[in-house]
Amino acid sequence: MTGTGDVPLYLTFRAGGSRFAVPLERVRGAHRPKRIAPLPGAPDTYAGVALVKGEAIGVIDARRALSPEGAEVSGGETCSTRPVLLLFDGEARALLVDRVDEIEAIPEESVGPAPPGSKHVRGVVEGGGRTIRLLDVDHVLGGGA
Amino acid sequence: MTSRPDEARFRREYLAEAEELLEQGDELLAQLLEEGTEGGPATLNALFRAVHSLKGVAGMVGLAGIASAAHALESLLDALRLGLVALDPEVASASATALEELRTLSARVAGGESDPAGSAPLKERLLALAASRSSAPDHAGGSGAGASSPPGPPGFERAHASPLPPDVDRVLSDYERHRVDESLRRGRPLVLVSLDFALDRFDEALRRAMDAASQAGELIGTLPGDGSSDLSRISFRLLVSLPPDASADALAHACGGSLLEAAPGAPPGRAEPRPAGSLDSAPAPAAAPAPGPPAPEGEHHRPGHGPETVRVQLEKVSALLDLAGDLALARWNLARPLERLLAASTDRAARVAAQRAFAELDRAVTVLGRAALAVRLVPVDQMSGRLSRTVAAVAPQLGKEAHFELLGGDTEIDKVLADELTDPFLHLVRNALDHGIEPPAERTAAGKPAAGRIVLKAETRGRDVVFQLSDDGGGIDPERVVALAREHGVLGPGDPAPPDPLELLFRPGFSTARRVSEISGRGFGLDVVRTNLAKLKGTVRVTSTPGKGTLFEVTVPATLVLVESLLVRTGGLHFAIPTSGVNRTLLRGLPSPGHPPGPGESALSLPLALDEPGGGTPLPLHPLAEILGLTSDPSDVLSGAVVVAEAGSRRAGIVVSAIVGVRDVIVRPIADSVPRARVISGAAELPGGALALVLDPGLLLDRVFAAAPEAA
Repeated sequence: MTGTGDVPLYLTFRAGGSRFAVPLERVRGAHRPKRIAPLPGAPDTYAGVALVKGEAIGVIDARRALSPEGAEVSGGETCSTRPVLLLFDGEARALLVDRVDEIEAIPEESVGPAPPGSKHVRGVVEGGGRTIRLLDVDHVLGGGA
Repeated sequence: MTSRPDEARFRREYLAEAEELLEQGDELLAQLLEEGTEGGPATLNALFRAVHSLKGVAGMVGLAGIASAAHALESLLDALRLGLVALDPEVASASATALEELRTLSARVAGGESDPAGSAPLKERLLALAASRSSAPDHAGGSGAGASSPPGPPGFERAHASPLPPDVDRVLSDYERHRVDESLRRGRPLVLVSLDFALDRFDEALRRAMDAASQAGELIGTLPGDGSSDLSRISFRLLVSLPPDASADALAHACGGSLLEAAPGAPPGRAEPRPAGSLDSAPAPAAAPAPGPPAPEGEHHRPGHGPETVRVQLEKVSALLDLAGDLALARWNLARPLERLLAASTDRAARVAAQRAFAELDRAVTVLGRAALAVRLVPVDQMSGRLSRTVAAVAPQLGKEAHFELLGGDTEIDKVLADELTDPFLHLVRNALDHGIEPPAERTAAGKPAAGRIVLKAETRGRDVVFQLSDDGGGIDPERVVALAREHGVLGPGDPAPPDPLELLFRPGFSTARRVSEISGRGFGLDVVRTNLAKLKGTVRVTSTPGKGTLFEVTVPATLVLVESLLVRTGGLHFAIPTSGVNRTLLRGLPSPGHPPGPGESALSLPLALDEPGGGTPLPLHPLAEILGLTSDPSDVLSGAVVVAEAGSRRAGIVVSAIVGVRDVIVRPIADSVPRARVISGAAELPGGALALVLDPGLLLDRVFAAAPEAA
């Protein structure tokens, strides 16, 4: 889905005190998981598994997965007590974020290069005193090779 | 930077894309010159995007000359887009020349040149034009993200005082600001639509609202909401410029919402902006509660919004089910020792009495389990509320009329199943409205009543419940389905069409191809419906008579297919092992090992073994915590319970912290893409709401024997 003048829309969210964005067209929905069971054998970035509408979903903790990109694993703003699970189209893996912010149209030309050493960030938008990191969704979900 | 073969490949990719983009560019420029900029920004925006993409592709494959030439043209188009320059003959001719040059440069790449450069004078001319601000700019500021550029640097006066609330005005990008000014200049009313959706599936709701807004007028921007919605919802605002004759009410209707209140009056401005309307939009039934009757009793889809009584009742039912499960476990644990005791007993009368009593107990426990399950049966009536509200809310958006009817509403079905079925039926009902029911005029012309009928009929057939969802719409043309399937690669060119062409509708290609707008606009998504039903052991098939209507028949077992599982605990986690893979359990009293695990010695390698009754080979013992890589507590190994897992002829003792009981659970498989210990095959919700990980006995044994081959 694109916004006005074909400017792509992003869903912005917060994790560990930092702002991130994912393309809205990839987002299937967002849920508040009732329970998340730890998943033995999963990487450290996984919070576990949750059931969403009868589907087992692997839950990736955005704070932990995005800590190389500046998210603080603990702290940040207030520790979110009711995190939101972002679901992606055709994906059994989802991102657990502190909160969903808003939908923003981000023109491609305003996207600056990712800082050196970034793993999952494909670009950065600065403006209005905020920094938004645009995520490569597949990379984050895949754990990043 | 790249090896030759790579470079050749990159060039080929560039050329393939460039050709398409340049073709688009030519067409769009011609269209732009014909219609001018008064007709709205769509053409100019599309042209800008095409050139921007071309620049990106060129840059990516190392064609710096082309990227730089495209950049110059892009700058000019951006200035045009932002209203900084006017589309005068000079700008038009420079743009056309630049496009032509990009085509020539691409041709030179095709001819083998590695990095052809464009003409420097042309580039300078484009950049100079872009910077000229020839046409008395109606606002200031350069291009950029502009998430919050100030209303205008000193030296430039905005042509119109902004009629927008300050918090909206502040976040406008340069482009959006320009479109606002443009709208004011032309006397078009500006409307601010406030949307508020449940997080659950807001994307679809937003898509519909945006489509509606784009149809009603020019969608200038999607802005953040005022932040007042609670955490389970997301709000944002659409800024729309309407044609002079349109009204905010019409837009409200198009968005599927209703006008709640008039927004604060616009500040005095020179133009006459329409006061913004604040609309509560609920286009998708999964989003905010649609206007209509309150949720009927029995609905509890939105946690915290449904009547509490249902939840309480379910909890009581769950307690009952737990108890029935505990009894089943006790019986199960009693059966084998009793058998052995009785076999050894010489008191014939006592033996017969005990056998009889046990048979009685066995029967009672089974009946109790079934009865407890039956308490969860609910009438399918409870599904009709959401379905009929969806029809009422969606039909007007599509310019159609339709009624929903439920027959056989007293048919009983498992509560959990009823909840799970609502989504697939919502999908089918939406499809019927979208693609089945014709617009009123078309229906009248065909001799049908103007309003369509969508009927859901439920009936019990043996242990199944059969749902028939029918509409009296235009039906599905099988030949069209086959043609579309071929067109979109669902069916290969050589593949014969299946005997029932409508089966093709359930193939994944039909749903992922969102572009299949000839039938659907959004794709059928029937493959998803079928997959979701398959998880409930249900089936779906479709029949259709062109001109008369379509019938979907869904068959599901009346009670869920539950898997009887042994629930165990280890490392603070719950695990469920299907009892079909469990030979027996030992609650306590492990044979004491020869020695406790020494330093550096894994408990897995302990020479722990369990004597088989009847003197077979002793069973190897394996702590579950070790198998899963959890930190194991050595005391588990010594004091825990043992589950004897069994698959085929293989057996092993799995040591767990505790055995919780036997429960019937619905197993939800975990997709392969989720990394985890391989023995975990799924997850299941327990009656109390906790989650258990489902262990596959076969995989468990594979793992055990692979880790300790000597035990095999």
